[in-house]
Amino acid sequence: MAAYILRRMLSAIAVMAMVGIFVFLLLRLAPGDPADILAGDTATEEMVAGIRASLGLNDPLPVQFVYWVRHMLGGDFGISIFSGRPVLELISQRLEPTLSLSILTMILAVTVGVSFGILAAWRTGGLIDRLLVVFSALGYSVPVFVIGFFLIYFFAIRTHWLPVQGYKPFESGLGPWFVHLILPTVTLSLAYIAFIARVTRASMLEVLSEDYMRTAAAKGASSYAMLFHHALKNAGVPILTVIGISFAYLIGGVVLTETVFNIPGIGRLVVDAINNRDYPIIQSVLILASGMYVLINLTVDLAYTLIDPRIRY
Amino acid sequence: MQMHKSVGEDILLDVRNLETHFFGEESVTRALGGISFQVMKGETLGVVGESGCGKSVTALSILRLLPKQTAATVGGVVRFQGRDLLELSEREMRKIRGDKIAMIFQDPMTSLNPVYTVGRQIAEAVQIHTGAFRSIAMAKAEEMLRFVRIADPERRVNNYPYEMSGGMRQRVMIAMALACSPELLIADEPTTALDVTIQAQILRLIVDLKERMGTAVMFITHDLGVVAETCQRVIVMYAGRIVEQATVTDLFARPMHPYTQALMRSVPDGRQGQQRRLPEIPGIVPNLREPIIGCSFAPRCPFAIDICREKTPALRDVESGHAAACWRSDEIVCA
Amino acid sequence: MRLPSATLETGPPVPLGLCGLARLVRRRPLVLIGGGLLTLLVVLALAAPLYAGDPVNMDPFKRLHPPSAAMWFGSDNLGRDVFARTIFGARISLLVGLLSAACAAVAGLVIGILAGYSRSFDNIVMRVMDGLMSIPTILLAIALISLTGPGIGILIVAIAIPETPAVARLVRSVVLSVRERPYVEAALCGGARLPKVLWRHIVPSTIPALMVQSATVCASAIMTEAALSFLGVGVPPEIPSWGNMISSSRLFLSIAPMTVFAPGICLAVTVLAVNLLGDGLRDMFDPRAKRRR
Repeated sequence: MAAYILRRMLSAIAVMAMVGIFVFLLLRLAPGDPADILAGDTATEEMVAGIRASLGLNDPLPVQFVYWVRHMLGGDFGISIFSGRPVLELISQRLEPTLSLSILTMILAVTVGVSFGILAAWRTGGLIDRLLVVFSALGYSVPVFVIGFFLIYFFAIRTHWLPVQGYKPFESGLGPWFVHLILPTVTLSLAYIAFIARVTRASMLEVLSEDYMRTAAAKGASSYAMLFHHALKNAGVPILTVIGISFAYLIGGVVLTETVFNIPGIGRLVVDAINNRDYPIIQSVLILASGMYVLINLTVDLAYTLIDPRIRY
Repeated sequence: MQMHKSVGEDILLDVRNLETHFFGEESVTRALGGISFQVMKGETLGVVGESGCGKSVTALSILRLLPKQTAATVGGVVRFQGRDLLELSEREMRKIRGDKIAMIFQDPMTSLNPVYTVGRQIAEAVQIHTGAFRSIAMAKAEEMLRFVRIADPERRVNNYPYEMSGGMRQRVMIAMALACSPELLIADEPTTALDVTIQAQILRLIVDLKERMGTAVMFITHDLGVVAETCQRVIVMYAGRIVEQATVTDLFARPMHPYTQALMRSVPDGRQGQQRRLPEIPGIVPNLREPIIGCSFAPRCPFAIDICREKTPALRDVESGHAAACWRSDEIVCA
Repeated sequence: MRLPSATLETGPPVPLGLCGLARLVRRRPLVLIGGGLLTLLVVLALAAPLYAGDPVNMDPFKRLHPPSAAMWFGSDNLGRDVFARTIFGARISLLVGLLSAACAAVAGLVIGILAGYSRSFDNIVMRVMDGLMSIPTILLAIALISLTGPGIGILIVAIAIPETPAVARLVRSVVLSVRERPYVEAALCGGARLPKVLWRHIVPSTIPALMVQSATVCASAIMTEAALSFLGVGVPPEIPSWGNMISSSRLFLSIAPMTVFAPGICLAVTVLAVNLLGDGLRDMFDPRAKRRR
């Protein structure tokens, strides 16, 4: 087990190193002098020279890379070109809305997606199953921002049931916070519900035809016990895998959802950063996003052992 | 023998005209073409036949465990303790399964849930039917493991199926089935998937436990040798019908159906030396998707005459307690 | 990390005659519906100049008009015909989607085959692929575009690169299983040269999986293009594309919903058509998967 974790950590570090090299090269490959870019449009000659010296841009590339990595590991993600503030500070200011949206979305997507998939597998060809076919076709095909505008139009503009857009911080009260997050959460989770439900259905179907399900039935187990006790745990590994993938890639959808609903989160930060060509922010978010991905995958791999006793590393 | 004292109260399970169909995309397979038989209290009834003849379907139809989307029991009565199982609600049926009628399956490697300990799986049966607390049920599970003679039950109770051998898993299956002291145990080829040496142990275990608990056993097998060792009465099935029904002694002494006779000839009996080539039954099993006219065995039967191809013979008593479904049983009995 | 069972297991390549194709289409309506819808969209997009009207002409007196006989979908905030813009937008979406998918498929095929054949190449390149896969598609595309600024060329490359690793992995897994097959060993033992064996035996067996994966990639590429344009980093704003239209009309959603919904629905229908085609192809090449889904 320990050996496995160690091996898994090493490969995670390898992936992060790849991402690190890529992100590092991003600024160096961008047309123009990195120091010019980092200094911004209004900088003087001296400021550019100062930045060049402070980043060691006169050193050879590998040296620069080591230098850059050391900064990152020390928590120094650089200074935003546009606002002149430390990137880490900007990110932490934007963390709450993004985390709120992500966590609510995952809760909704996992509970609805898994139950939807189980019910569809329970009665294949039944109403819920056919509903899932239609729903997943839509979930896979309608882009998240199109869903967002539809929901805004019908549930906010036409009916005034929910706020059109914006975000209320958690400290302004649970009610306003939640009400403002309902539409964004539903918008973002639809595709993931479809994804999770489809994989849940497929792996449940596979398990339901196993011999041990017949044994359970011969024992007198109820449908509930059969589905949730006997089948779900056996179908758990693929389900956990897609939940992991969904969560790991969530930030892509978050960027779009935050733009649609005008939520001041990390997604907006990135979009503004592209328009301002604010490389340190883009670089940092890339590193953090892929770090999340690697971390989630690692967690999921280790969680397999909790589900299936046969998996021993 | 058993047949003579078969008055009403000794009958545990009474199956009449059981008919089960499978539904394919474009066809209907008549897996059971209306079969009738009884299981007496405490007896061991053997059910023999080739694979695909409907032995397992019979068992699954009785317990109503067939997949609902593809199979249905379309006719008949399964009377058990005064009630027709086919008429019960799903909820009432669940109370029968595992408590009054238990079943063990062919392949112990795939019949246990891989993600739970064997103790929990045995305990589950106890919990479902007695409502006992987990701790009490686990104690019972341990007791059951000792009962099926698994060494070191205190430790084994916390094992996962993958940590056990095939024979041991089948013992676990038996422990699970017997945990609630059922009236009837249906054993569907319980030794087929096991090594020969283990097979004998498991057979002896089932016979032994049956004696101690007084449980009736319906023993499904394709192995006539197993029948001879374990059963009192036998039914022989072919193509979804019962073709012969007799006590074990009668059946082996005077097989009355050509199919039974052919079956017996194709079993190596050890006396005639190793060199003799075993006769096989020529022809193939009929396709149950099409209606069968006449006796289903007629195309493969050396004794078939015109009537065999035109009218289906009913199962009738040729001698007392010895029935066969053949037009020519009386003539061929000693052939 | 184990991939979910959604990944495609490929059987042996299915021989496709014309007659066989016709029969398959009859038995697989998804291919017909998806393919038909997609063909229709392509024809409509290509023929746009013949019937759709002018997508860029602005008319300050006809701003945000509701749908009418003259302008089926109404007009946008600059008085441009939304119908014409939507039809012309299809050209960009399909162009970018198909080209990106083609780039990703070719790049993935080459990388996957080389990785499946050479262990040293495999070790290095698949690590790079792992790295690319760890960055969410949109962020990676954004990062690549930030190198040069918006433009169609960089857009296609930026969409293709994040999609390539999945294709490469799939092709690699097929190659790894095919190279163990007896007929490949036999060909090599018989003195056939490696490139010939690759071309003759290995490439063809990757085709079914590649076709299915390409459809998925294409759907994803069309969505990514629209998303990037919506975020303002995709297609340059002067070219009508669905993402651009939604982005520039979003403020007028309450007054003229068609300006957002028309391109949105077209986008969804296009992606749906490609997805249906992909699902149909999957069922065609791997009938076992159909039962599971």
